[in-house]
Amino acid sequence: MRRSVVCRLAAEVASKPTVTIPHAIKRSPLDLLKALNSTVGTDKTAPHFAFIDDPTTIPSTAGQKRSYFLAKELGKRAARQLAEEWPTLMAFDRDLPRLPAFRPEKPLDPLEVEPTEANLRKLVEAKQVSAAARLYERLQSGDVALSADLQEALFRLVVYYNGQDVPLLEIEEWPGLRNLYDEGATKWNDAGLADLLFESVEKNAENSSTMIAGLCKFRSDVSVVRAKAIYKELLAKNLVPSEEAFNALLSVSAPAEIVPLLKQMAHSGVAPSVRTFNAALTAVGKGKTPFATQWKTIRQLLGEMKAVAVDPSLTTYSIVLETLVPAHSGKDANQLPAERIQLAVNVLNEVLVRLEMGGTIAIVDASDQYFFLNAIRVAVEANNETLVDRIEKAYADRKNTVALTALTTESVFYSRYLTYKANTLNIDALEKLYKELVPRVVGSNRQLTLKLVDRLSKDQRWSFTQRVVGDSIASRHLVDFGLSSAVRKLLLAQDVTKLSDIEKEQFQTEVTRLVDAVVEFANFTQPFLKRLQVKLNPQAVCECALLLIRAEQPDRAWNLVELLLDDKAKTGDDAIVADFGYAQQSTLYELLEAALADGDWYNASHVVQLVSVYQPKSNLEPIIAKIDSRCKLTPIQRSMLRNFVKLRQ
Amino acid sequence: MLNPLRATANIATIAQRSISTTPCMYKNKAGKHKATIDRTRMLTYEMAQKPHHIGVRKAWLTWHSQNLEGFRQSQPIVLAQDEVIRRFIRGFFPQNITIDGTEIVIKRRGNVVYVTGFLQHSRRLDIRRIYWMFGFAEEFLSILLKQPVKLELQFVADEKELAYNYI
Repeated sequence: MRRSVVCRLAAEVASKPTVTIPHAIKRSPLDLLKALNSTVGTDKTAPHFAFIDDPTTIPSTAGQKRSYFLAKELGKRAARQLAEEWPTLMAFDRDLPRLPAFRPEKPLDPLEVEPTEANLRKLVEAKQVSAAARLYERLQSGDVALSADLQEALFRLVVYYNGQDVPLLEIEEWPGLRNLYDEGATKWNDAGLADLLFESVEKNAENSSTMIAGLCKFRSDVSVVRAKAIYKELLAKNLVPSEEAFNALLSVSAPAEIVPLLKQMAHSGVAPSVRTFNAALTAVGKGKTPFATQWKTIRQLLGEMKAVAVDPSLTTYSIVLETLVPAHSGKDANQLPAERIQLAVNVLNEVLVRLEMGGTIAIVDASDQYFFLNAIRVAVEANNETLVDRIEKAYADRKNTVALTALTTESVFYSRYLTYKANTLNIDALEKLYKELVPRVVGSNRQLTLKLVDRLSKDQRWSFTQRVVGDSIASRHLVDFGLSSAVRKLLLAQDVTKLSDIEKEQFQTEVTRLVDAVVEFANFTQPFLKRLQVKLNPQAVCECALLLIRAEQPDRAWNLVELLLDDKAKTGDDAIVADFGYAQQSTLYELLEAALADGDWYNASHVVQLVSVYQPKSNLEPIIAKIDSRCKLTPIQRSMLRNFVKLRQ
Repeated sequence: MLNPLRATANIATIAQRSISTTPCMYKNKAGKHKATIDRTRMLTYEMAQKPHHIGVRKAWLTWHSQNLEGFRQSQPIVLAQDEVIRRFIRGFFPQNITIDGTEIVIKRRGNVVYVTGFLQHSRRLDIRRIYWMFGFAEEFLSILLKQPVKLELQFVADEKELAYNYI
């Protein structure tokens, strides 16, 4: 027995296959991190990480996002300024390695610091432009000689920033100010330090090209003329301007000057880059030549790009699209010929095919992000759903590394996307998309709310309605007459009988919240709150009363209605009801029906009074007859109603 | 009239210091709250659990790894940091703190310090002001402690929303 087991085991061992250990997979240092990254997505239920994750403080509109983000950033700035002022209070030095990020230093004061070359160099390296300029003036007045390279470095700094401090657009430290605050373009500072330094530095190709670029960057009529003059001087001296100088000149040229400039560039042996062609395309787009000429030039430039093997960037495509379908045409959008829009669609389709088939979409310029904005604008104007979906997919794809700026351009992109999809998607898919995007990325806005109110009034979905109403209240839509009316109409359109018990409770909560807010706005009667007061108008009161009746709060509803008949509520400093406006006949009749359904003669007669005030041309006799037939009126009550009608007549 | 001898004996006893011989009542009062007759004392969950429930029904208000043997040298620094953070929050949000600012939870993940808890607001919550204060507090504490500090404080309308029990 044992032998047969041993033999059997030996046979098994002999027949077992040999195990080969595979070679280790060679991984780069980032492979594991990339694999982990591919499993991580965006949390679509949370707000942007910059905001406090609390329903009270999550912003709902673009304005609120801007306001809160800037407020937080300004708080950080205040703390930083305090730390710069009192470094000895923050001397807890236990961090290893030493972290300069937590040790903010006060910038050198040019009026107090010693006027030496070393200090000037520090200021130039720190890009403290105006401080460097002041220190330079002190050095000049003290006749201190500066080295040529420092002078050239100062010259480049001053020209690049037009003698002013680094603009908010380039500040790395404060993203809120950088993205949310627009300083506007500045013009060249004539007879400033830049001009003075230009006279003192060597007029070689590099310095002259820098001056040309600066003059064109801060363009004014005079600076452009001067830039062209310096360019001609350079050519006369047989010096070769740099690529940046050519790019700058192209950006300020008329369309007719583009080709000669490019020819000169080729003649001088300066290799163009994608920025050269982008500058040329921008100049073509801004020119006032006929569209056919513009399109011909664009095709030539794109052909030239292909010939010199320069790959177009997203900015290139964005400029082409913007030339084909201008962005700020507004009312003129409908006046663009259909062929032009079709051409833009064809171009966009070709671009998308390239992007979808190509590899990683890498960022070249900060303006690359505007391609997605322009693309979706064109697709929406052409009413092409396939293109809209493809653009969104291309943006959201992992191979796209060009990100739209959060809180600004991303919000506009997805707002256009969502507003378009609100017309085309079925209600379930739209609800899912809405909950993913609002208010995390897209702020609740007027156009979107009205569109959704329209859709939800026809396709009823309580969970979606509840969310839209909640977002509208949080976005202060109730202070807008049109929007608050739309929200009330949406709630009135809900068929309460089809709601489950929980949904009915939610409906009651939302109605109570809405009416509380509306009444609170009307009660801002104190002098310091008067500017915020939104008085109750008759239509709003009737709609709120109807909502309260449906939310099983009839007493509160009729108390509200009685306000319309109370003169004290309409006059004086403490007035909460507007003494203008009217209530629609349909709403008043609905209120009447609600009163008659309970056999409530008293409140029905209030409605009769309201009809006589707000619909003076209405015939009250049928209404009185209806009340008589449905309520158990005593003879006195009947005669009171009839006398009221006679008096009104 | 007093007996002089007796008076002298009284003076002698008065001048003596006596040792108390009654049993000591070493009652531990920390973390315990006295009940009221009309059950008006509000207790949060934290307050309702007795100290012997720490680690059982109640967690710690500060989380760090400096109690381990290898971190003995740096333990006092973390304790001091915690105290600095608590005092700062108590002093910077005086109208918003709940339960006198004692229920602030400090967590550390890597180098980042997270300060969590609840703040209360009145009906007129100025959200922009709150964001400004959050930005200031985060930046100030980060620069002070030389490590990133993030506030994860959430708002309740009133302190009473944190009530677990009334005694």
